[in-house]
Amino acid sequence: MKRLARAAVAAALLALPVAAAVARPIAYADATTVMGDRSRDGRELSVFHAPRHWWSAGVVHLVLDAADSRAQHQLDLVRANYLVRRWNLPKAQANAYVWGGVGRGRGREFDGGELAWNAGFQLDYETLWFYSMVKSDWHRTSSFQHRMDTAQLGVALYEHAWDRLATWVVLQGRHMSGDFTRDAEAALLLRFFRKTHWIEAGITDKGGFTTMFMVNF
Amino acid sequence: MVRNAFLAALIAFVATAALPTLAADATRTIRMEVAGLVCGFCAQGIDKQMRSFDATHDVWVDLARGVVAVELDPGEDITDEVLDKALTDAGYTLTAIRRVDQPLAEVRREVENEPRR
Repeated sequence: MKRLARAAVAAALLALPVAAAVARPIAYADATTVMGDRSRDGRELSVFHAPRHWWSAGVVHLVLDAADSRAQHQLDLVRANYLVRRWNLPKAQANAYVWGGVGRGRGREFDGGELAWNAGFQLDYETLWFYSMVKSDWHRTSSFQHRMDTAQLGVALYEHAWDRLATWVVLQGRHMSGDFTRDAEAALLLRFFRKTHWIEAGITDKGGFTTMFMVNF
Repeated sequence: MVRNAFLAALIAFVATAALPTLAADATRTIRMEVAGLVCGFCAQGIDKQMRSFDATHDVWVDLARGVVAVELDPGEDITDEVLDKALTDAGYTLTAIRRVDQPLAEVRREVENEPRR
């Protein structure tokens, strides 16, 4: 019955009448990006502004949940993102990003806040029909540390103009290690992208849901 | 006789004065081929950048063929150097550029009949 329910949700998602593909820490020059996501591992909300196409800065609020739900860590960070290298190819684009942040970390199991650090990188390769991305994100305070590794492969379901609705099917693998280590999780996502708006939703192999949104203005 | 000669001279004057003006006012579109143009973010950024020029009347970005077309206001122009810098600053690579005396709608129809990348 549970399996049937999962299949029904998947079918419903796939039947919806609907990215340009990769979620990037820097959208484009003079753009402000608001991103949020929710998954088994926690919730994240960020706002970045990019004065130029190769860097952006902003704030991040991140909540990470332990598998048994008894521990929870929260981070509030100021973060800067940097485009290390972009490859503009005739039919594709590839990018290498790094980022770093500093702020406060809090947890249920200790009092007060602590100095928190964040670092990460992302590599992506994208064409009109296909994209791939690997990303790693580290967070550390004197009381805890987390590492989240994510890989995605996406395929566009049809050719799309940028100002029309684009629909991508994305296969995602994610692994969280550190204080809240969990088994790797796979997810099948459906991503909808039109002009400045992006939403995605998916189901995981553990029966959970994952969602994300992004708006550029 | 004198009257006919005067009329002929007047018509000739008006024609020679008006023709260059009409030619200058013909709708002109700049067509650019751009490498790395594969995603919605790319198109958004370039669209925004091109619309920031005072001389821009309209912009069209075609992801399937990697084409950016900018229709200019009558009598206006944007130099190749300025366009190249704008695309480089936006994070993309300009690979070809040409001007045509056509409105953007016509350029768009032509481009859409060309093979995809």
